[in-house]
Amino acid sequence: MILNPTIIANLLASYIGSFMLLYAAYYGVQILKHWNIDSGDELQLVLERKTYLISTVLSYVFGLQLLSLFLFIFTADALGPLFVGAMCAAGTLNVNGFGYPTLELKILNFILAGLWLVLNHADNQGYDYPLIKKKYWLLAVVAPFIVIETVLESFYFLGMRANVITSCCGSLFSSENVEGLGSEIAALPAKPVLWTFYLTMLATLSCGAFAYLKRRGGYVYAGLSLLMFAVSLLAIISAISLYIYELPTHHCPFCIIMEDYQYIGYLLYLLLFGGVVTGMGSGLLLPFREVASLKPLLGGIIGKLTLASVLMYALFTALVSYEILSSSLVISYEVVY
Amino acid sequence: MTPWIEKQRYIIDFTISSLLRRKVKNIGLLALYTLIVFILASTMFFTYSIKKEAKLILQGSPEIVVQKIVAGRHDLFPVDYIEPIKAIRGVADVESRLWGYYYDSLVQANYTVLVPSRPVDKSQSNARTTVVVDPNDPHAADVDKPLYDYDGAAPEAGTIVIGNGVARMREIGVGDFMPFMAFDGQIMNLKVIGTLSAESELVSSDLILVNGADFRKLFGIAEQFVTDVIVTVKNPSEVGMVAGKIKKKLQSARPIIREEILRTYDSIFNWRGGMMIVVFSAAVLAFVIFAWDKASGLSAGERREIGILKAVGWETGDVIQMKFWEGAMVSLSAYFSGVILAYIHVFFTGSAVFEPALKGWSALYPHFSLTPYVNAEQLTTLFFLTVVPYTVATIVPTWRAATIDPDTAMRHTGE
Amino acid sequence: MIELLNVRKVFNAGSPSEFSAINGVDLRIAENRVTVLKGPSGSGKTTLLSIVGCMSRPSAGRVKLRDREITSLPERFLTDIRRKTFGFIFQQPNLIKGISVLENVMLPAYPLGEKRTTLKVKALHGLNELNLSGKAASKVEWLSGGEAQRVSIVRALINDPQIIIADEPTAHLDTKLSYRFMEIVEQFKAQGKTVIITSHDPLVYDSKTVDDVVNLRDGKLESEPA
Ligand SMILES: Nc1ncnc2c1ncn2[C@@H]1O[C@H](COP(=O)(O)OP(=O)(O)OP(=O)(O)O)[C@@H](O)[C@H]1O
Ligand SMILES: [Mg+2]
Repeated sequence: MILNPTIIANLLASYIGSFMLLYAAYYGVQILKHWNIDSGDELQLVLERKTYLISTVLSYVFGLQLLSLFLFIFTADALGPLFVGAMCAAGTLNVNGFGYPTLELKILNFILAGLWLVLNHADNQGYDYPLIKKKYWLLAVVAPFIVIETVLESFYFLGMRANVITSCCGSLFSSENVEGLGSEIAALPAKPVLWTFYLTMLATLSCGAFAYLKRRGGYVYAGLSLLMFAVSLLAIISAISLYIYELPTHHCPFCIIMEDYQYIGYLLYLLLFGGVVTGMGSGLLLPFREVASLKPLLGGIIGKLTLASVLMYALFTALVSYEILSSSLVISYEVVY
Repeated sequence: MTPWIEKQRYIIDFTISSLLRRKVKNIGLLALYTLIVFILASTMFFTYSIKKEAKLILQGSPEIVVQKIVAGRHDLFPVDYIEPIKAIRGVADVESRLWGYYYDSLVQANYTVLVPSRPVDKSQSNARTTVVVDPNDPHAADVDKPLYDYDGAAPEAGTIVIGNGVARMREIGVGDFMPFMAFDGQIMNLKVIGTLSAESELVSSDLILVNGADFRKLFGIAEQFVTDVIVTVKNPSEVGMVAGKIKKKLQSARPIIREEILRTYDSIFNWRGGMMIVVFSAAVLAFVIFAWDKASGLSAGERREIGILKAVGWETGDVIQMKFWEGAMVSLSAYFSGVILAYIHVFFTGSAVFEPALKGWSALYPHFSLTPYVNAEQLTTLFFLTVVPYTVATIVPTWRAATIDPDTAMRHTGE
Repeated sequence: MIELLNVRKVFNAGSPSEFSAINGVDLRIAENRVTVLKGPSGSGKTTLLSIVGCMSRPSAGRVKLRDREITSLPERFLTDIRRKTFGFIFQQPNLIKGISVLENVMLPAYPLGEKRTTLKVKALHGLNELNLSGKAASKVEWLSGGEAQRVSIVRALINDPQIIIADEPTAHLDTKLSYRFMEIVEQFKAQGKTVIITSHDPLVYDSKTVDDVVNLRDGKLESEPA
């Protein structure tokens, strides 16, 4: 392994996150087993108090998950010089088979933790703990993922060998390379991808506005927000990054978080992650609109989430459009690099 | 939204006043916390800027150095080898170098004795006398100066130019004579005609520049040998290829590529930094336990206070928020004061506190001031190594404190 | 206004120190009346009061407030009801040391996030009512016992509660101050508030301001009104 302070920080964050989640999940299971709202038993009182502990822990895990996601990419970026051929995170993540799966799980877990908090917030508005069981089932589902993430991350860092020859964004996300998902995405023609991006975004935003104003079509919006998340990532790799780097062949999703590009990537990804968590969160709450104790409030919460999601996606689009318009790169020819 | 903000303001105000009311307890915690951040930050700042400095210097080092190896041991390099290397396609220039280590028994230190081969402007590699600045580096301007105020020409026979460390150690300066014991026991008295500038003392501190003839006399090296040679390559992407050809042509030659050194350096420094963190992790762990203990061992007064708050209508969540702000304030003050103190310590006082422990690879250690170099990576890492463990350690005690029964306030007898 | 149905409270259930403090109490407390809970020490007055005041939940039975069942509400809802409906006056003044009288008085309103200026005006007005306007900026440690209690009364009123709950309010007061306290209770009643007091001080339960007296013994009600 490579013993580096930043790697230690990563592993520490990951172990702490897993540990906290397992701890919370353990009490979550106790709650699933023994919960009885009508009882005034001490056990019930103790369990109710534990709910505070669990939500506090989960809020911290959520924050930690977001921070550690960025720390992870950041570390991968910083470790670049240790590996032959790695210029940024794209290459470092590729030094062994665990890098990209860890990253993907980190994103997934961030979204899951965010959804849990949405559910928790809604549950806290009801006077009879209306979603308590569902909430803790979700927690029990999330826990293993975080543990798997930690295991993969450990393998990734512990399995690192200096001087390994890796391939970086230049070839991973290159349209010349024939194999690999990254290059397949990169090889997508930029212009049609941009069109797709803008059209789906238009659909998503209008659906969101409709859902917000008319309180209908919420499920469609939740679905679209997830789709939009994927489409946006795709668009970043195959088209948007070109404009930010002002190079017709550089397709890296990581370099944009570097200082050279004013850390614009952080803002873009933050908006994107925020948009998908709130968007899917609004959909997650929809089935509970008719729960008696939530009826008066849930509509408002769903509305707010939808609005937040729409605003974040809109801001994301505005930022992307600004980058494209202010870029000196002109893709006038049809991508034959 | 506004009531929410107003509420947070009330809670923050109350938290501050409650922190101030328990000064003694909190100052102890804060001091320890700051100390931990300070130690970790000093270590990180130190290793990172040394690494950076070393990199900068290596950046200006030759692309390929060729040594002669005899049975695994580094040996003098025959001048005859130079022509065959020059003949290799892609090689722009081959320069021979004369340098070695000299042990000074008087002060028990090792000096690096070097013969500058020719003036900088005539050298193809442009290498050893100026730091070639990395154009991508934001701090480039800080070091955009010659490594030492020296034009690269070898000193005249009988004279030397010495590094700052040597000058300090021997307490000598320009005009003084410095005695050397040559390989055959003869004493050579060489006159100091200059000292090297303090810039980037890391490499030049233990340096002594001498004339070629004096060097040969001192070390007893015959005319047909040099220490090693450096090879300049026309096309940078052919460095590996050229190195391979040299190896093939001259069995006993060992070419060393700069990129390789850079990578090795990087791992060594990473490793050193990491080792330090591992060593200090015991301290962090102890601190975390201390923090946990502090947070769980609420005094009777604090319990009473929380009991009252809950009795008059604060909710568990409100108390948790209060404790969150408390932790945030303590953490941020400790974090920032620790970082600032460490910054001063490392970059202005030259790591006075643990200089010996950190450097410890030569008795003659540079008194150099490192170029301040702090980046987001170091700061985030520090945050993760200190604030995150502290925060996590206080979650459960906080929650315990927050779930004190409101009716305890009713059961209080006496103060 | 408040209705208790077969309320029980068991402490440390299941352990050897299990103790049943309230054993099936049925009680109705009417609006705009002054009710006194009286009984020997350890009979469960404080425990019952804390259940009535939404501070703790009964182990069994039901509690209704204005016909709304509140027995098994989550704590955050109970607290919300409590801070808007009830004002508490404790045996001890229970003020927080080291901060000013004014801040102490404002404390219960913090979680509601009211505007600071309005809240301050309200607090000063309350202090003024009980002749404490000169003490607003003083530290709590400097107050006399009677002053401290009046401060705690102002604090209980800061959120303008409908129901005032007082646990042995006169236990630490001399006769004169106790009479003064009963005068204040009289004022509450005049303002249309409901008052519930526990006490074994005859000065309290024999006072003409008191409308109902409830007798408690071993966690049970003694039927006849005094
Ligand atoms: N948390 C607790 N755990 C165990 N026992 C308790 C607890 N709280 C109260 N008790 C017990 O419940 C009984 C009733 O207590 P409570 O304080 O209600 O009495 P009280 O009528 O207010 O007495 P006093 O007039 O002395 O204030 C007492 O015997 C007490 O020891
Ligand atoms: Mg009592």
